[in-house]
Amino acid sequence: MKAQNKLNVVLTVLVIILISIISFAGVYRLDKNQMVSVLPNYILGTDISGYRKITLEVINENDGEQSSSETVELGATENATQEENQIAENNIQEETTNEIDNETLKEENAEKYRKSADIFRARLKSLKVEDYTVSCDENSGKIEITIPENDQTDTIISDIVQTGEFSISDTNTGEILLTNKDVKSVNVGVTESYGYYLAGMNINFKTSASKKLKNISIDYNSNAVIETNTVSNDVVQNDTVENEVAETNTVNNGNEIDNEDSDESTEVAKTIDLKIDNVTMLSTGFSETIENGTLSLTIGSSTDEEEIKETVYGGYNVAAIIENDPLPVEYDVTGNIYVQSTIQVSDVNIIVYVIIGIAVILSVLMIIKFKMKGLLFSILSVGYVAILLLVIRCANVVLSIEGIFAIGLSYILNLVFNYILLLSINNKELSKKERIEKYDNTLKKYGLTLIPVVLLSIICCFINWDTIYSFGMVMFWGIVISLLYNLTITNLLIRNK
Amino acid sequence: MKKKILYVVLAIIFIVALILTAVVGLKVDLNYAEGNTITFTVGKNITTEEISNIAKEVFGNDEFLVQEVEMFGDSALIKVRKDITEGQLSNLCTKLNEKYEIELETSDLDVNHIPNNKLRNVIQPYIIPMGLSTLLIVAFYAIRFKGTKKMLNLIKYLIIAEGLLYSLYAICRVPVNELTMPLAVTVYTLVVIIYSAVNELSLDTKQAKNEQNKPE
Repeated sequence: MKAQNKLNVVLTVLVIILISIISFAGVYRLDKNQMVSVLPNYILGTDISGYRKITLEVINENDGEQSSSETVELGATENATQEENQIAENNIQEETTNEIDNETLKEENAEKYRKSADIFRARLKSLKVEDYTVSCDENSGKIEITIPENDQTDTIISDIVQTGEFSISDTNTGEILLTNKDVKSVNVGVTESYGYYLAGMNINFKTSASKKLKNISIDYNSNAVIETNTVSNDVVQNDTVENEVAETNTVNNGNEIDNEDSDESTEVAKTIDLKIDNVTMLSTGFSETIENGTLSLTIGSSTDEEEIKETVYGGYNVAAIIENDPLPVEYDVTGNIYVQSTIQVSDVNIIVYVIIGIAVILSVLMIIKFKMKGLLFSILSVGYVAILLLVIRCANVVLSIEGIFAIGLSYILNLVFNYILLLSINNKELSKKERIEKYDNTLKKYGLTLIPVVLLSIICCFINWDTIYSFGMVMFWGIVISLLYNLTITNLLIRNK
Repeated sequence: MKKKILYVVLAIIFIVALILTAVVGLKVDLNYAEGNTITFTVGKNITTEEISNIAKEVFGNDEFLVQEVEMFGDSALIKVRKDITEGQLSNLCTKLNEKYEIELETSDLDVNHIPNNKLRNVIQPYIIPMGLSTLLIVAFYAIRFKGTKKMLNLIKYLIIAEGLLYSLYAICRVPVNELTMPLAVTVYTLVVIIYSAVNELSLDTKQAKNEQNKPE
């Protein structure tokens, strides 16, 4: 029985060593004369791998310059009249006014640039970009944005630089009925029916604007019109917004021609334009009165899932623009480059070495204090880290600097359990039953110790920020594996002592 | 008495750190700071180490940062805290031409002024998760230990630990960089882990004592 127990312990230790070798050294196979790792690679976060850096510059700074020259001109005209009376006095006044005007203008521009930076932040937040920075030069208005590099990066860049002036206006008179300021939120979603996907966008208006929307939907109701007008009544039924615009226009033109003589027909043809930056995205009428303050649009339909995904992503971009304020100044992309992280692989290695160093010191202390048991538990801790690293690779957890620190923290967490367990069972007079009882108690205490960290990790898992998410995910897996590891392998060793 | 002295010392440290921050601000790493960048493509394989050596020769003691740009391994970016002179630009061109046997001109170098990244924006994403976690954790303590003492203690230790980290950055002029926030999160979690473990152990000892004191 004793020999069997010893064999069990030796086998467990060997399995741990084997797992450690697999995790730290890897498993390779020959593929096309090359050794290829069987295990998936670590997915590195933007803070380690790199990011896209976009430089935006103000296009139309003439606004500012113009107004500055206007004020100067105004000042000059005023001075010209005054010159007739008090030349010397006015010269002084002119200079002071210009200085004050320039300063005010500078401040106004700085305010505009700050607001623009905030709007970019809000748009990126609406787009749920995982990790971004927006910095603004308040003198020149230049804005630098860094965002993660992925499939959507280019789409995001092309869309977020739009000024984003959203309006719902009368097609005929051009009267603006609703703008970004009236929008509360925008939702984009997909419904699927028998393999046919339909992407929709709901523009939710503020309570104050809901009434206005209701009135518009009554005023621009096109139900009573002509039967052929149904295409324009259903807001979007085509694959793309552009098609819809074209089709709607055709239908409306037709109406106008058909009903040229009738006054009523002119009224009936009343439609609205949905515009972004004065570009008409859609012309439509309303088939029914909108009571709930939500304008529902169909933005695309397809049987191809990938195609609908792209449509939806485009919808998200439009939503991010509509639900935020328009930019107070126009921007243009002047730089768009992929930049490798400032944190080099060598820096990451330093962090890893420091964590390994701390782990070695703690293990040595354990060995000094608990001798053989300490050594055994040190090996157990190494095995724990090995399994955690394997899971991180297999579960595609993004590894940021926070994630690497979380691995270290998970190790410490597991070590805390080992230490408490060793303290409680470090008595030679303990019977097997007592030892198991002590183990059960320690595991229970450990579980309770973990609750606050579990809360922290779960919250971090729900945060849409690369580095925080990485921390949360690694901590979460660290806790789960630690519990399972101690319930199985540590349990086995305790029972077979 | 010892505790009081400790608190007074801590308070002094925090006040000094706050005053220093208000007067001179925190020291910021070049990656977060305002500066000028030079971006260029060599057309041959380069390493950041090679470019760093060239930049060292050109900018001397001025603080600079080298990053690889794009994915082809032939472009780089040098960020300098100070303004870049024409002389430095032509010097850089000459050095690059000598090293890689190319014919780069100063007009091929893309020079840009880069605004600073405000620390407020760096810290902002962490406020909600950490705040929410703290709320939930203290609520858990209030339930688990039936009272406010333990939860107030946790808040106290968190403030002390994070305050000390902040003071270290403010007083020792450690530059705030990409490692600062991960360190702050790690310190936060470490305090929670240790405090939690100590409390669970002390609760166990208390229960054992109570059981011993019970009359048979």
